[in-house]
Amino acid sequence: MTNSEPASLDLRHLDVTVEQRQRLRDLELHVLPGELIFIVGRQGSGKSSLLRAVAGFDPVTSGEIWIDEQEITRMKPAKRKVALLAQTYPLWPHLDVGRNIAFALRGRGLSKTEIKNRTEQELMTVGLGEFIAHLPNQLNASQRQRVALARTLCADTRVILLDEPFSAQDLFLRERLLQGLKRRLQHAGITTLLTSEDPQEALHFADRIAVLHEGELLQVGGPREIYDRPANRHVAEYFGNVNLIDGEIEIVGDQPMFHADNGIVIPVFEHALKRARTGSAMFRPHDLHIVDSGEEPFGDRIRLSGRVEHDEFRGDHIRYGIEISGETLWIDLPRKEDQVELEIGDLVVLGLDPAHVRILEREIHTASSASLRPSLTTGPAQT
Amino acid sequence: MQSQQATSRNRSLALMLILLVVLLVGLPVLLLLITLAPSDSAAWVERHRLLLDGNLQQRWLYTLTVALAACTVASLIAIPTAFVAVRSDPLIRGILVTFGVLPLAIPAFATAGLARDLVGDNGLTALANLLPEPIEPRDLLLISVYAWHFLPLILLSLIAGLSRIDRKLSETAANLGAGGFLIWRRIILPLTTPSFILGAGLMMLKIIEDVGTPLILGVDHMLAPQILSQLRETSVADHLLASQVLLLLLMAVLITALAWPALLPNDDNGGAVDTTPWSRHPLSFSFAFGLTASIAALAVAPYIWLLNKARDINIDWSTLTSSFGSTIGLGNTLIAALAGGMLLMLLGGLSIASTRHRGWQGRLARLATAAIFAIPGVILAIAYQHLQPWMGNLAGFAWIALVLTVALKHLPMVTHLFANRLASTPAKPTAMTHDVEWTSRTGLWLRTHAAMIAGLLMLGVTAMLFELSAALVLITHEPPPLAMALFHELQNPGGPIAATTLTLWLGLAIFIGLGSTLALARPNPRTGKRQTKKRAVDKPPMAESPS
Repeated sequence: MTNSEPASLDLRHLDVTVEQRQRLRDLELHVLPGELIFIVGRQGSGKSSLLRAVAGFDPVTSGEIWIDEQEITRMKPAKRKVALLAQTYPLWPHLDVGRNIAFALRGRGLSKTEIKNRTEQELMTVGLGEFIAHLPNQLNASQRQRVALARTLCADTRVILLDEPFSAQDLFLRERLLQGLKRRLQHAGITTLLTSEDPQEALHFADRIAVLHEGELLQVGGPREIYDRPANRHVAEYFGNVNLIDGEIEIVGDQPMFHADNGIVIPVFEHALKRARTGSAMFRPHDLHIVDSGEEPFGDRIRLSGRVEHDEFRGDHIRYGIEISGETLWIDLPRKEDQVELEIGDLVVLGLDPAHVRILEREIHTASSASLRPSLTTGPAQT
Repeated sequence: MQSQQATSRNRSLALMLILLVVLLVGLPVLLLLITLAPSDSAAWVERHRLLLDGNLQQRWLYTLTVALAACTVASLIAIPTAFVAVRSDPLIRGILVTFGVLPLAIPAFATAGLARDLVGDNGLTALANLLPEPIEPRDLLLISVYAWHFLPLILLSLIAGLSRIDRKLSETAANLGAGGFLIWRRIILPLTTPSFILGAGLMMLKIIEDVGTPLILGVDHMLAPQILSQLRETSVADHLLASQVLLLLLMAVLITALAWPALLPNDDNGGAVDTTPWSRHPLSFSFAFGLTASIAALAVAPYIWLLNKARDINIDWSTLTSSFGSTIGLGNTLIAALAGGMLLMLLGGLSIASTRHRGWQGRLARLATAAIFAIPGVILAIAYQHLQPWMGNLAGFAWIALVLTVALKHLPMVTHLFANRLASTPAKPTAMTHDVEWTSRTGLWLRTHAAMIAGLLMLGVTAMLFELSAALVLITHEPPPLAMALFHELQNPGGPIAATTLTLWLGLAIFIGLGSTLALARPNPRTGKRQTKKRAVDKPPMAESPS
């Protein structure tokens, strides 16, 4: 990696079509210098295509790619100085691990000793110091992926693209590698796009997260913003378990109210509806709590009565499915010594602070770069 | 439990294969070598003198030069063709592979007959005026025939090798700043070399053991035809013959040793393979188009010429019918072809199944199979002929030996062709459980492996129908097999059987078999992960990264 100034990466109205199939549509993303952006989305959402287009391997049908002040849209891959770690972490099978890594260090005027030292150092970083003389087919998938990662990090570049770089690692290694990687990228000021299918990983480590769905960006924002204020149902559901109740907004006096189809009424403080009055009320399982029988009503908090119909042991908490008016709502209760665990069939009263409820559109609307600005979706509704 | 049973079965199959190779190849060749070994010091001196003799040196040098020259010419055509074929869309690839395989549909000696007639005496004279000393027109013709006929061996091997190179390997190099030439030199070339060596090695082995082509073209410096003519006059104990046999064997062993790394099964980059597409640039497109058209013209020309020739032949059907009974052992040929096909199917199945066993038995079986490459067919036939006195008056021994020679010589090739296909077949189809009737299990097994069984059978039949070198050694006193009859016709044109017509018939009939075989031998898209040779102990990464 280079020690020069961090670079910004600008993707302007990018369209990418591969084998007659459009992989990216009007994609607009501005990556700040030295920023680590996680690109998340389901399989086939276009994550890999995005990275391959930036690296110059998937053809850009329209739009522009800029690094700092230089447009690289039509530049040959070898000239772009954008390092890509492909999803399949390809290693050259005829070269041993050391030579695979040394390939990335050539042409920089380094002596053989310097290349050897650097190679060893890189391998130590990924825990493979003893494997320098091994051929790729003598390594397992986890080791091969780490060698490929070490090789990518050696590249002389200011922008790095990592396509699911830890997919072959176990949870323990994944976390340690990600911590080390983030520290290193921050220190070197490398601008990074990293794709992942693990939303928790993205929430923990990303500076910002971009959510892709069928080739279109649904939302870009910081981890808290994405989790707390998802732009739509898809984003909300992607980042963990969520309660969604369908209904529509009605104005009662000055206060907009959400009338759920099952009869629940929730005062609305925040919504993301743009085109319709109908939508889904969204809140996370930890936004609900059990109301004690002696507890007095407090503020705007609403109460929902239901019956326990499902429980899931989750280690530090238990997730219960509560059936309320034909709808199952999920609630997470932390395990405490004095906490009485609920039984299937128990009648319970749930409390919900309407301030934690967010009304989302039922259908996904994308393609507009304006919709990516999180400020539009905050604040009380003004209808 | 089922996995243990499969391992045990594969181990038994591997052991059985090793035993068969030792009995059917190792033992006869060893007995021959013992006979060839000098018995006393005078014999040693004589052998030494003969090996230093200019005539013998000239022969093996000439043989090697022809083989190398033919290989070079074939490579010049095969390398660009393979690159275009692998990177083009399926239609162009199909056309190139089909036309690329077409030369194999006519036996090499028949190709030589066609080339001789095509050039004619006038052509040879004209060529003689053009060529510098010491190259003769017949040498050039021989090299051209070999280059054209065995081109598919290099082409198919290269296509198989190039198809295994994932485009991501070159993309990664480009991504790290490598230019086109560097990618070719550091990535593509080293990854393709084993396939090229395998194809070229196989081609050279085929050339040095070929008997028919030089005889048809009237070239008398090649080693294998010399061995055959000596064998007809004297016994294998003859010093000159023994020296020639040993030299041929040594050459084959050397070529096999060079191709050895490519002969053994190896792990490649694994995963789904996505080859780099051919460039859409007009220049690249024109090159691909020109190459495809040239290959098609080159491959089809002999057939068109043959068809044209066949129109002028007046066949006396009454003579022809009676000739089939007296001058050709047609019945024996067909029985031998079927037996050859069945034997290759059984041995091939055994060999392919034993490649699944990862223990030492499996490795030894693979080694034994690959080592058969080093025994030229002529020498294996001589080894069997040498066993004849021990066999007494065993009826049809010559034909049995011919069938064995052909099946065993093709065993390494079919193992290479089909092992990949079997590897991609599910080891245990889900319905293949012990709860299912054995008849259903057998049916399911047959259905799963039907393509491979048919391919092995067809390849065996084809190889048996084509075999000339071993037939010339073994079949001496009986009506000859079809290929041998054709050879005699081509040597002495104008016989009762119209050689060109028969060649055409044989060529087209066999092309169907060969084409289907090659189509069947195409590996399935790989799905599973490959087994790696050695797994090293994993260690967690360091917590701190270097700054």
